[in-house]
Amino acid sequence: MKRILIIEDELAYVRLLRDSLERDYEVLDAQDGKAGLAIAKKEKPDLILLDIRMPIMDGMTVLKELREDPYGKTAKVILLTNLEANNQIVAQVTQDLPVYYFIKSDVKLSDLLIKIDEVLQPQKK
Amino acid sequence: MKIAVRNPIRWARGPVKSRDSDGESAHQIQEKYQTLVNNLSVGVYRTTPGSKGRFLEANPAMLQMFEARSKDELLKHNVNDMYQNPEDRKIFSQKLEKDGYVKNEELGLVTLAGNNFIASVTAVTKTDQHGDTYFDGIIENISGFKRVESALRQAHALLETRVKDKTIELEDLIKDLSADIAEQKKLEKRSTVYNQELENTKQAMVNVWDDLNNEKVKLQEGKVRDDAMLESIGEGIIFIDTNGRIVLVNKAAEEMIHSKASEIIGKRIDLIVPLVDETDSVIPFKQQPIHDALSGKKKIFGVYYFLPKGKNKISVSLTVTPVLLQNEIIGAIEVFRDITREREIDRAKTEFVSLASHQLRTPLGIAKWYLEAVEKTGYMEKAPEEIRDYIKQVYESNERVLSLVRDLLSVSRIDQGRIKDNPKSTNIVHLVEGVIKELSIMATKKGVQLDLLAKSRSLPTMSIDSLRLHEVIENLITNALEYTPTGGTVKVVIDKDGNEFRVSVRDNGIGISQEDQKKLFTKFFRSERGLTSNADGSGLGLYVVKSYVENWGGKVMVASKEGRGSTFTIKIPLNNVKAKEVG
Repeated sequence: MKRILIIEDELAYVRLLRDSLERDYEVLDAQDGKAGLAIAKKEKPDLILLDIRMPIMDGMTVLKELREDPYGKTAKVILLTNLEANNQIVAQVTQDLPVYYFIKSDVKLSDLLIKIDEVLQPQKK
Repeated sequence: MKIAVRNPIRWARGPVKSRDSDGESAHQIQEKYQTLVNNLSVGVYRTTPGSKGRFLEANPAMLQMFEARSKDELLKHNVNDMYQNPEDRKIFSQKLEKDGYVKNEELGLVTLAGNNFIASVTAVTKTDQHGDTYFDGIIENISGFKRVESALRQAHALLETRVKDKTIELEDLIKDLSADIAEQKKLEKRSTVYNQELENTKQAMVNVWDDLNNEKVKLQEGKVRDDAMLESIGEGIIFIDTNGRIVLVNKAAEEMIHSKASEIIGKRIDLIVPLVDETDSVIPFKQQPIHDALSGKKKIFGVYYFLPKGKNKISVSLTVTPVLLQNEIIGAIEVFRDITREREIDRAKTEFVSLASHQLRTPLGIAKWYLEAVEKTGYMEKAPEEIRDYIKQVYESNERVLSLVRDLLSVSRIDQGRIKDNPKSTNIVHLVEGVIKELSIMATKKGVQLDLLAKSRSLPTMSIDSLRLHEVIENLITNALEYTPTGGTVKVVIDKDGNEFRVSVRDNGIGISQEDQKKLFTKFFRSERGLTSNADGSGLGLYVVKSYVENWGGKVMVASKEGRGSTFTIKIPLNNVKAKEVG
């Protein structure tokens, strides 16, 4: 079973995502960037759902640090945020890498779940 | 003249009266008469007639006149001997014999001593009882008189000549004088004219002086006014000459760049107030607005950073205007405002907006997903229809708030000039199809038919910020759906026209009045019809559309007729799309 790590400080999101994904995936979670980064390096999940605005360490820093790690270099990441990040900085960090970017309040839950399935099981499509 | 009578004349044959009544004797009368004749100062004589003639009698005055020593000496001579011209005697004698008398005859005579003289002679012809004829006459020497007369005449002639000469002289003198006077008058006149001219010139000069003084006062007033204005303006003002040197600095500028005017006038503006970018690197002079203004004759406006030496960087809103004199650039004026604090406030505002939007979106996003999840559970199908309807209402309401937050965020970014595009390769047809798919639920719900016509499926992918293009298309279609009543149609057409692509959204809804079309793209504008038709909207959608599309070098157009519907068209160039800032 493929593993998904959710790094998100807002528990309501964590809970709903977990509920929606647990049937098909093993779900890990962390409530801040630093903890999330540690789990990611250790567990090497197949996909990371990463919030940007978080306490202790923000999502962009997590992403940068992750890119220093041999695993993290190619890790699949979906940025999930309500923050309108500076598009150019996002572009720099995500360039040529399997990083997707969604604004949580814009995207439908169902569309996000479809995207996750796509990313993790591209052969099915 | 008293002549002594030495030999008194005896008138032997004078008229004798024998006796008269008072008893005097003829002899007595003779003597009386003799005495009278002898004492007369005029010559008295008696001659015989004829061209020669002989003296018969002569009184003493006669002898004296003819310079005869005695009566006998005279009587020895013929009468004509006494004439300067003896012919005259003949004429005289003939005249006397003929007329019987001669009165005051002037004759040229000569004395026995040979001296010429002029005499006046009066004579009568007498005949005695013997029948002898003789001449009696008196003679007077008038030489003296003649001389005097001649002298007088000469004197007179001389006088006349002199007078004439004098007169001529005088006339000349008068002429000269007249000429002089005329000249004098002319001179006087000329002098008067000169004086008048001088006076006029003087007056003119006084006037000019007065005018100059007035001008000077006016100029001084103007300068004082200008100075006061320059000094009291809050904006920094620096006048720069064509060499980029500072000519004039106002107080506000002095304060802003922390320099005294006296220290910086005459120095190059780029050395005194270097223009830097955000990373503090100095912008080369040739890229500075002052250079453009001095060479291009056009006004330049923008936000820049000043970095005065040894001072803190200040953010300024800068306008550089070339100063033209008869179409020649003579310098430029930099007007600037310190917006460092404004920028700080702006940053704080941005921070706040982004924070607020995040804070708002988090709960709204949670609600969105949970509501969706509720619908997906399968329980909803068992729930009463009204409950499902309630849930739907909540979901739509939540979506409206989310949309409003999105618009506010976009406008805030546009207003701050913070649109940073993230262009990536985008298939426009796919993007529009996606938007239509998302909005088809809304269309169905409203009972409006939503169609897509892609005239050119072979549209190339283009580099553009797909999220923003998505927002633009979504805004246009949402608007069309909102203002089209049930039963209407919204048609989206994608087309390629030369080097640009076109997306038009046509509806047959309520339409927009000519008046409202003009204000359509302004912030927070909502048409009367839109408000009364109960359509949703923040009044920000079209403002966002216009800002984004123009940022890509494109255009938004609207064609509409009230009651017939509207068509909104966007045109965007396929290449040359720059990710530039919207300011």
